[in-house]
Amino acid sequence: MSRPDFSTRGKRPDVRSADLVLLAVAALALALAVTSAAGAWGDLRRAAANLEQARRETADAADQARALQGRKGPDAVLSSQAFLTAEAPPPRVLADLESILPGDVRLMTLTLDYGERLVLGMQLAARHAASYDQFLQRLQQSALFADVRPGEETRDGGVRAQVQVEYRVGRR
Amino acid sequence: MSRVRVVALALLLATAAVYAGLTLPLQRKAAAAAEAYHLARNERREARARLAEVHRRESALRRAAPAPGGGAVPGDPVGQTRHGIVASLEGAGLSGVRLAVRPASPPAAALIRLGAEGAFADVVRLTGELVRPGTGVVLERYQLSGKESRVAVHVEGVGLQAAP
Repeated sequence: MSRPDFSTRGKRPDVRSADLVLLAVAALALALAVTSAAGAWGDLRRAAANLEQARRETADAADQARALQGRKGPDAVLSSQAFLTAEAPPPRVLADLESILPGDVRLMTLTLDYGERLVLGMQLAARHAASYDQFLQRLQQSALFADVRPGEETRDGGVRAQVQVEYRVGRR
Repeated sequence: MSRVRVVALALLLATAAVYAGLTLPLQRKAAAAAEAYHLARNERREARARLAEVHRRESALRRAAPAPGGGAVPGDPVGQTRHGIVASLEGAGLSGVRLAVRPASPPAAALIRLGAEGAFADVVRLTGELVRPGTGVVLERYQLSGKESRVAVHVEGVGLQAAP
């Protein structure tokens, strides 16, 4: 049997444990939100600094390349030919072409013009038109070749065609 | 409502405000900056590759020049170029060989015209020999034509002087 309370002091509010749990959860959530905002702020500052540095270095490299290209001497073409001969000798270009040549497409003539760029001229014969189309598609998708220019072609079941394309060095 | 509950509710509201007003926008900006950095990093890689290529182009002539004293005819770059090509042709198994090596204006030492016929593999092997480092041969135009495994090759190029 409980004793009766005759005290005249005000009764303290009854703090239930559920309320305390709610308070703790709310405080924790706020702490997490603040921590996560601080983390995002740190990420943003880091990414912005990296971005700034990358852009500065890109601009520096581009400026240097432009400056070097700008002072081309009389040997520029020969120098370019020497570079392309060393970096893209015919056996290497042939091997790269063979790697994308469908089985029934044959090279009739191949010309490699070494200048400022290495430009390939090809005369091809394919038993099936689809194979020639596939070759063109592979040329266009390859990182080794650029500026694909299909020329005149005759289609009578098979295909005989001319193609001009640029070979890009350093893309292997 | 108890005072504790009021405080808890206020904290939750503050959490929502911090999350929606600060965390989410910062995370979005950080993600955008990271994406921009990813693109910029690729651009930087390409710019550096272009610069390296420009450097290699600049030094290509020096690197392509034959080593001094490497030929049989010292002081005669035309003869030296011709000698190198003839040496490459020996045992190459090619037929119908036509070779012309003439003096050229500097920095080239010799003009080269070479035609030959043979098996595809032999022609490709000869080509590799002709332009291997140290021969001083620089290509201007290279043409292969033919059917099946027998092909004709025509090469136009220049021979460089030996590096001093």
